[in-house]
Amino acid sequence: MDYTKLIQAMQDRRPGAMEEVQTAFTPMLRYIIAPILPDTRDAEECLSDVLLQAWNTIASYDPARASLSTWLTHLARNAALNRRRSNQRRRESTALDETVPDSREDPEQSFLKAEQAQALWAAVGRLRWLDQQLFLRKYYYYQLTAQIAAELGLTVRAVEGRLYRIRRRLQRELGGVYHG
Amino acid sequence: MDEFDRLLYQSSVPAPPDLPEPPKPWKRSMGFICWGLAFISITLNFLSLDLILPAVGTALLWLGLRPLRQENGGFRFAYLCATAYALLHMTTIVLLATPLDQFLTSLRNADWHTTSGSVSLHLVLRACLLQFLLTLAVGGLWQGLKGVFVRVGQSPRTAAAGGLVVFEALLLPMALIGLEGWLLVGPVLLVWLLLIFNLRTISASLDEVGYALSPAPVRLSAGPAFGLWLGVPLLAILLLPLLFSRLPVNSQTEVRVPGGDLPLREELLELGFPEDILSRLTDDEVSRFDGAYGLTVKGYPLSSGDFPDGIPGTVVLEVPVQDARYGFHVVYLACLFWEAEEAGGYMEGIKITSDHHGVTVRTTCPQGTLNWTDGGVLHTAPIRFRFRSDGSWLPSYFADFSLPKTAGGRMEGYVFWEAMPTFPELQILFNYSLTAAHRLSPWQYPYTLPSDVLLANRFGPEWRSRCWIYTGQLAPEGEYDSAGY
Repeated sequence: MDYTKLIQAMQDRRPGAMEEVQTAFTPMLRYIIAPILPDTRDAEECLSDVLLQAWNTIASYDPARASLSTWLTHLARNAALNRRRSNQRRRESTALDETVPDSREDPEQSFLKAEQAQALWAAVGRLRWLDQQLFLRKYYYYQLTAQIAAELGLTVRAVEGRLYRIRRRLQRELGGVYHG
Repeated sequence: MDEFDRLLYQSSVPAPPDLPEPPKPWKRSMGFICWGLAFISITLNFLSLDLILPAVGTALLWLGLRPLRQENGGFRFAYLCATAYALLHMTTIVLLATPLDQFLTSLRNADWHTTSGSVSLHLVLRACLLQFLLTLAVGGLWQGLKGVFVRVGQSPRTAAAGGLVVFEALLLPMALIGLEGWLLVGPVLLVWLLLIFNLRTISASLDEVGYALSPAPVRLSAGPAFGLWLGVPLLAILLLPLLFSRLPVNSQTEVRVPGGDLPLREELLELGFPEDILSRLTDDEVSRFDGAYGLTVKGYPLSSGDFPDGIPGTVVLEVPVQDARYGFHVVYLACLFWEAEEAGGYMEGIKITSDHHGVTVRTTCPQGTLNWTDGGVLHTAPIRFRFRSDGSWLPSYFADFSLPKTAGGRMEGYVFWEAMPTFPELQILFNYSLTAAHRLSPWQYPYTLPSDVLLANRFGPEWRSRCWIYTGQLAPEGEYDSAGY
């Protein structure tokens, strides 16, 4: 679908553009956010954040790099993960005392992580199409195994079996590069 | 959850260099549906693709609708129709590999006449039911798609699916009338391609905006399910014809006693009746020639080259006899001979067209027996004929049978029929013919009797056939001239 006019309308801050984006993409954004944030209130707040972020950062969107839906998906996935992490931190901070060391990454750690990610995605790129889909859905979009199975017309056992084989293969190919 | 799984899951995999496209919940299902509809409708009559492609299409349509069945009522209905369609389609394929289909056809032995020829009514009704179920399935798909758009508050963009319903519904009367030809089929194919392409666009738009599915869980993954839907009919096509490659031989019902001392035998020999044939006939058979006043023999004596590829050697005798009712009538005897090595062959067929003009003479239904020796005992099995008229309305009688599995020598078939004059005072000349068909291969799909092949006059590579056309003569005593034609 061609969203050039819609993107232009958003960049020009035309009235009604945001409503149009909302109507067209809310189901998709909900679909992406729901597995990461199972709590409905959290998910709705996150959805509002994503739409606001899309409105504020549309100027930085480059249609040559990704389609509008891919860009929005990326925003939604990251926003949902950030919210989930902050929720987790909030829960942990009430449970643990303040002697826990700071978990923020230093530049060296960030560099290592980027290298690991590159190796991981290169290995994923060598998987078959269906296995790539399974990996993305499970570990990138955090979808439940039952949802993946039903949407791809597979049994839960078949998905679990395939994921197990994918993990073994990735472990073999990465050879200890990826430590999480 | 193993260690690597935990690491992947908890460390939140960073984004790849190229942003991945979002998951497309509709893509796989709608892809299956579009390809399924395409394969069902495509007819390619080579390499058995006319069987394989619709079977693949049926399986894909079912697989595509299966995860959508919990989405809304429309999809549920479409799934149920697709299931019924797939079951009926599979049953049809299995039935066509067995004589059961012929039996069902014989229960109501009627034909449906289209512009391109006659088709069994039973086959037409089944094809109509299949097309009706497919139309309902596409209708359900249309309503299901509409429901999805309505649920998310958008105006439905499902015109292509609606058009496809009209298209599938139109195919029904077109098939019933038997419309053919590229001038008609060409534009229809074009419209259909456009509709399928647009249906694919609908699914792309559903994916683009990511309408979440409520997918139904499955008990069997798509791969094995596809294999099952495809494997059962393919196995039926490959194996079942081998089980039904022969017809039962209803033999040993009576022990034949040829020869005898009827005075009529002497009279027939004087007329020129071949002695070796006469000696093989029973007294009952010989008594058919009571009152004979002439004789014409065709194809006698047989030469060794008369038995190519399982086709029987043939001698036909024409014997006019006096008759109290008509003044005279003519008795025909067709003698068919198969060598011993033909025993255990697959199927044989005989077609007798007793009058090529159809109205010149009145004829009776042929009656025949198949005789052979096994272990020194003579055996007999009836050769049963039935009347069927072909596309050119030529009245013919057909018989289907198999030769016995073991025979101690030559197998002989004797077939009698009679021709009565319409105008007894005139000498009438007419043409009659005898056609023999022999099946060479144990495998044939769909299950076809030799009489079907003879009726259609289309012989595939697994068949051999030979036709003998003769001139017959109906003339009262004194006017019959066996050398006159």
